[in-house]
Amino acid sequence: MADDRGSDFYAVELVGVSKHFGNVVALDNVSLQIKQGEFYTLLGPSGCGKTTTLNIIGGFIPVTSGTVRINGRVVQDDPPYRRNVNTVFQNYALFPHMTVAQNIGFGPRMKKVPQDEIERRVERMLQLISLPGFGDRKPAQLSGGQQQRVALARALINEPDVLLLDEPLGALDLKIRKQLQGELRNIQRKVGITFVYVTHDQEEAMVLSDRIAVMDRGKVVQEGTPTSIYHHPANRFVANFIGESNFFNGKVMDVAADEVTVEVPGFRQPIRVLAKRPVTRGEMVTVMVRPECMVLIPDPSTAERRDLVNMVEGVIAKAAFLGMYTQIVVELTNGTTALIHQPGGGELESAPQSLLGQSVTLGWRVQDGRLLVD
Amino acid sequence: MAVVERIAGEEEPTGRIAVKSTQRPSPLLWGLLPIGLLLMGFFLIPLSVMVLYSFWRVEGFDIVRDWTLDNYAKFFTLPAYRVVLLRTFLISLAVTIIALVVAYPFAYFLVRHTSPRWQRLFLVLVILPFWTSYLLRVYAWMSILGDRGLINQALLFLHVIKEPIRVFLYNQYAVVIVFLYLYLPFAILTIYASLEKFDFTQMNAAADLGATPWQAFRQVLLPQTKAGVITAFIFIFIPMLGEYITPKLVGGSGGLMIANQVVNLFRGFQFPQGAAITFVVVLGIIVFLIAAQKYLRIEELYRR
Repeated sequence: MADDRGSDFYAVELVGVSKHFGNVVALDNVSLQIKQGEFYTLLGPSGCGKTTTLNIIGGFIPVTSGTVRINGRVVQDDPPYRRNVNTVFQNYALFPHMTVAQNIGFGPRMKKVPQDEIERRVERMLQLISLPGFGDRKPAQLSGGQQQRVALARALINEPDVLLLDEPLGALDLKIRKQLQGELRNIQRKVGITFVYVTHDQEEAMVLSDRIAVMDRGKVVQEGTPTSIYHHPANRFVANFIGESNFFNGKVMDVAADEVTVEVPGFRQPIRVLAKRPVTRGEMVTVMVRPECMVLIPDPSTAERRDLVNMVEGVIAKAAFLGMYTQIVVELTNGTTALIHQPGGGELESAPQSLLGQSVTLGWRVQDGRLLVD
Repeated sequence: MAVVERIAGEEEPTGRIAVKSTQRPSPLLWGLLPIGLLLMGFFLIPLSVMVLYSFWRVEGFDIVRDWTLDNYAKFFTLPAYRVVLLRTFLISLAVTIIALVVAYPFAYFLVRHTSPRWQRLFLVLVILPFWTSYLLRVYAWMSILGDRGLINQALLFLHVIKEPIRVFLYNQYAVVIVFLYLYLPFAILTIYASLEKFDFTQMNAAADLGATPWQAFRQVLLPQTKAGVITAFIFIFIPMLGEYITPKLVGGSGGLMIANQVVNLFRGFQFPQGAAITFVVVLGIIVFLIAAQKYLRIEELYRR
């Protein structure tokens, strides 16, 4: 379905878009390229500009400067109804006085589509959202999850070039949200329409998206697939926002061809990390290590794993068994703390509480560290 | 400690909540006793007496208890009565419709474009006239519309006219203007109440789905604020059918309404005729209310 929509063009393209509200800069020179049929997520904390970006694509607010293209057509001066874009609102905004079928058929009805064709399309939509036979009900008779699906169908029936979704699952219980995430992804694959999704929930973004744009203070700080963003965060903000991280601040001691050595005050030995970005000797840098990459070494003298070249010492301050893994907080010799996720709990042999106060060594491989410049 | 169990899976639909009916209506009935007595003594019994009167006739200054339909026949055949009834109906309808057309955009403006603080101020201003007596407000309008009133003084001052003109007062237009002033607050308050409850993101959704502003109003906003409009209609139209003072003070002979006629009949000791006219109007109102109840569903205003 996406193929016949002129795939030479990006579904949505923002070039140097800025938006000022009085003195407040909501968006600062944002450029994005969203591909045809992509599930694209704008992710960030509240106030980062993600909803503003969505509203600019939808045409609900004008840009201060920059260019917006939808399917290659410049649209930043077009009102919402001249753009073939539909929106799923956070509170669903279903029409309570209409039946489910009337709600879903609203768009085609406004465009004077013949009644029998509307009925056919509504029926197809009800199948798509797995609510066949619900056409005659009123929205108030549906659960929150069902209402959300009706809102989705009401937008999709118009076959938009792009569907905008503004935290559509935000008002739902965790369990229903998880279930709907899967459905949303399936429906998007089935219809092949480009989805632009706004959320502040990093887990939701990871589960749903083909690509994610992480936003912070009106800027896109990183754009990429969930895995690339997780494994190669562009900066400390991204590393912190997506997943959990440990940070070690230090000074570059030595720069080799593929490896950088960083001296962290208070650590007995320097940290070795892959040189994925250019740094110079003496520069202040941050090394990031994910909690699941760190390994607890009870006794370094008998360590079997030679690849754990980075080692720091500390004392276990907290430990909690979480089923899939045991979460351990270690107070390090430099006064900071490190978070570790130890798979399972069997290796520890004893209850987490008994670990408290134990002196340990943490190890990780050269390739597990990430060099961040800011 | 109470154990609250939640059933996992799909949530319960929020719409229908089953209420177990308890078979003890007696407390409710006791509660109805005072108002029942009041209604009986001051409304139903006098009304019944009036209905009886309407089937009797009068001879000189005596009521003769002969059963007759003459009073009703006369009401429907004498052109003078028909004219006044029609005028009453048209004035009431005109005032009601103008009030709704003025009140709706104003209430919309309040809800959509003013801060809560200004909304409160505006609403106080809307209610403010109720702090003065009805009669005073009508007199105030007489002093605006009258021979030496504000309008005439202004026109004289501007040399538009050489002496006061009398087109402003003592006709049905004066009646409409004064009634509009008197009844507009009811329309504003009821429509405001229904607009205030409305979730306006629905209007964004309608626009997003390709509805023009007019389509969005007709298909989304108006149907959901219908209850407020109908309530306003009822609050204005029905009391207006019984209005007496305003037409008498500002209506002249051309602006008299049905209640003035009834009063004249009672003054002239034509109790049966007056009662018949009153009862026809009451019946009309009852029929209208039943129709409104059935087709327009007033009770939706009190839902949620």
